Amino acid sequence: MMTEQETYILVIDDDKNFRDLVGDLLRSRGYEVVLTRSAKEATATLEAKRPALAIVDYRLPETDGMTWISNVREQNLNFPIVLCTGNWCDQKTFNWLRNILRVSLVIQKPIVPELFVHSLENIIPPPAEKSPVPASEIDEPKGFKAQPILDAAQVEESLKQIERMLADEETFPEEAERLKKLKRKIETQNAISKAREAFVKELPEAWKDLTSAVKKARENPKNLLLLQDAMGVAHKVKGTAGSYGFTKVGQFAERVEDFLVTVDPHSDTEQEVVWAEIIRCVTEGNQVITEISRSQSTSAESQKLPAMSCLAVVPEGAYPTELKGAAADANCELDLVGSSVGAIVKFGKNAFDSAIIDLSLDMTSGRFQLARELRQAAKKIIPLCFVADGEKEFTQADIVYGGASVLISGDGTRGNLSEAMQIMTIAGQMRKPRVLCVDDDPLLSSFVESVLSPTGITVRSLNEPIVILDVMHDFQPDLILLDVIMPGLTGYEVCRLLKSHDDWKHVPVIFLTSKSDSQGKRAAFTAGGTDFLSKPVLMDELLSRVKAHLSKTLSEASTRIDPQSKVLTANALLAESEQLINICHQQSQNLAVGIISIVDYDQLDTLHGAFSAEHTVGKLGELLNERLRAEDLRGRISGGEFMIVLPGETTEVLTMIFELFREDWDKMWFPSVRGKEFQTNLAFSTAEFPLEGDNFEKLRDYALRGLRQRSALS
Amino acid sequence: MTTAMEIKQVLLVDDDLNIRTLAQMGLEGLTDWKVELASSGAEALSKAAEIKPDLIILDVMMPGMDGPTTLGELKKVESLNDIPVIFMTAKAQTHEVELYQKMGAKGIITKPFDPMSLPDDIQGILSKS
Repeated sequence: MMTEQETYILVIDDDKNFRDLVGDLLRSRGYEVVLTRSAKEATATLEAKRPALAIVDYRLPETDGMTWISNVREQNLNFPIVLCTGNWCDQKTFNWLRNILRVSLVIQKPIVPELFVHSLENIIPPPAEKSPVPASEIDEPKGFKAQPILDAAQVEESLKQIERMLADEETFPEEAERLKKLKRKIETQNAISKAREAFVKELPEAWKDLTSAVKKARENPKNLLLLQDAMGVAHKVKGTAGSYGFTKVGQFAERVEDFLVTVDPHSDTEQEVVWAEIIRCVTEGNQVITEISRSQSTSAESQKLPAMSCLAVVPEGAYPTELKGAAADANCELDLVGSSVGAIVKFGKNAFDSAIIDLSLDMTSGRFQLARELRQAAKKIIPLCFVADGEKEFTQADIVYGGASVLISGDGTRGNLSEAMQIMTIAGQMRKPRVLCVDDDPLLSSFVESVLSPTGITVRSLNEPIVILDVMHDFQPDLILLDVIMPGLTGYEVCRLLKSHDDWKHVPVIFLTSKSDSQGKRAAFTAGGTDFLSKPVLMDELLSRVKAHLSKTLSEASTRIDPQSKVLTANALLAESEQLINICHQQSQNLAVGIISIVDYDQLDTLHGAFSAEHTVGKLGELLNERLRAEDLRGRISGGEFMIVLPGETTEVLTMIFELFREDWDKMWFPSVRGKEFQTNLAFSTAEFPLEGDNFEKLRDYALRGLRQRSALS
Repeated sequence: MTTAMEIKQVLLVDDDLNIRTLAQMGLEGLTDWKVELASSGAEALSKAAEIKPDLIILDVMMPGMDGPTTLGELKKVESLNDIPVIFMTAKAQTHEVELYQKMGAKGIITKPFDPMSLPDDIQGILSKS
């Protein structure tokens, strides 16, 4: 009798259309449904028969949904309840719903039928004898694949994730079955991977046996036994090496065997060609094995990824040992080049994360032209370090404007070079892409962080998805990793919220889902997800998916970069400045804010033809990106008005920087429809933290007032 | 169908230790089968008589008594001639496959094989025949 009681879903909603829709949806999935219009009706139904689950509308005539749920819980009735609401609720309401009313899930209206059903099925599986996911959908495609040697930490983490998911009582039996199977698979693969590592050590020996067998057969061409012996050895290596995943070695052995078969011990003609081929295969196979053995031994040692790459542009033979030592200390991948031309060529080929420039190689006597050209070649604002011999004196403004995060006077020593590399690493990280990981499992978040952080991605975890909008505003992520199943709120709902928001709808969302069946995948895409990753999340997969989507976003530069000027948008500048102001506040440092305005910006198009204004904006943005340090911010606040934010600097230094800026700008000429080229003037004004304001808006407004006053005077 | 589901014990015959290790890992790791090992045709015959496996996986090229010869010997013994045998070989030309099947083998697994899909490959062969 008890079981009979708990099979139906109770729906309470005064909207007939909603009731009918939900009723049809659930019935089509095999659930039994009772539809009611009011709390009163629902209570009557409830007293006759207990439901397995109730779907309650927030707004109901007479008694509202929340009150009804309170009454239910007061009577000690504990069936799961799903609350439908027209609005995204605040954190307080949400916590109350979760903790006091024990609402299983909050879903936003209007519902998306597919997601609605999918979310409900996570609470109570459909009663219909729906077969569990067919095995063919779970298993990876068949066919021979080399078994990679697994990273021990990765295996351990995957197994831990599976254990946690298995321990979770919300996991369905068929899901648990799949997980157990997967666990077994990972363990087996791990064992094979270890056997493979051991086999690598035998490979050179096996190949030596093959080489000598071939040699003997070659030296005694009439000896059929020796020939067969060589064939046997080749045959064996082919099967064994191939099965252990060393496909290439297996293929060379196969070719050796195939050629040996064609050797005719009774003939004297044309044997040379065949033997030459055999020897070639043996030699090439040997090279492959040497390669494998080498990569095997180094991969075990150098697991640590370099923090960044750096090109040192220094005179040939100048402090190379110091540089190399410093690079090792700072965990930096170093390349050296001895001329400015060579440096630009290298940068064009390779994307270095930073550069050290010995100013003796920059022939522009303090104009730091090389720094500018390297940034042009790199197409990004790389952090720089200048090394000056001390003969020429540079002001702080020179250095900041030139773009150096560090200046080393005199020859570089290992100590100050390594310090410079560390400073550049930090400066470069200020522009790191950001990933927000939304998951109620802190262990998974920390796993994500441990995988992504070493590759230069900033990760923030959010364990309370209900406050997502606040965090989005603070953190301005470039990508979101979103768990599907979280307490009280599905990832689908979070994703739908973001996609309905103009500011965030372009940010790609990767769902983390333990349901990798086709239905789960479809739901992820229906909700607006860009991609999904199956749990347990594997290190390599996480990294490659995140990188792929990040590179897309960053190159499309959807929300953070202004497309015309290639500097930050006003919104992004606001968010980044707030962070920078915070850091300066914590370290009791100054911060200088400058506004750079193109004079008569609004009239440029009328005076000089269409796109003239846009053209100047583009050039100004370029100059801003080529000059100043990597840790400084550049943004466009409106039309022809730009803003720069310099941590640690004062109005005094900034005023000198403006002079240098003007010098560069005065060299810029723009085409005009009137036939002659034209130039524009720049107007500047400044503000300083904490003197003139303690937040971004105050500082900006202070500087803007200064600008207006000055233009009113002139 | 029936034979494919009933496997409890498998006898794996190969002269190469590395192959035995790898195949055993794949089979025992991914299924509940118990895998017994033999390194030659002669050993295979005595082990088979002793444990009566539900399946024999037999390498073709082995020194001494090779795979086909071993199969022939198995077929001569009344208590063993029903046990399904699958050959493992690095040389699987069509005429050889036909020959082995005529001799009574259920099918062929080619070397190199993928240890991770070995159980599925075996199930596939058994359910087909």
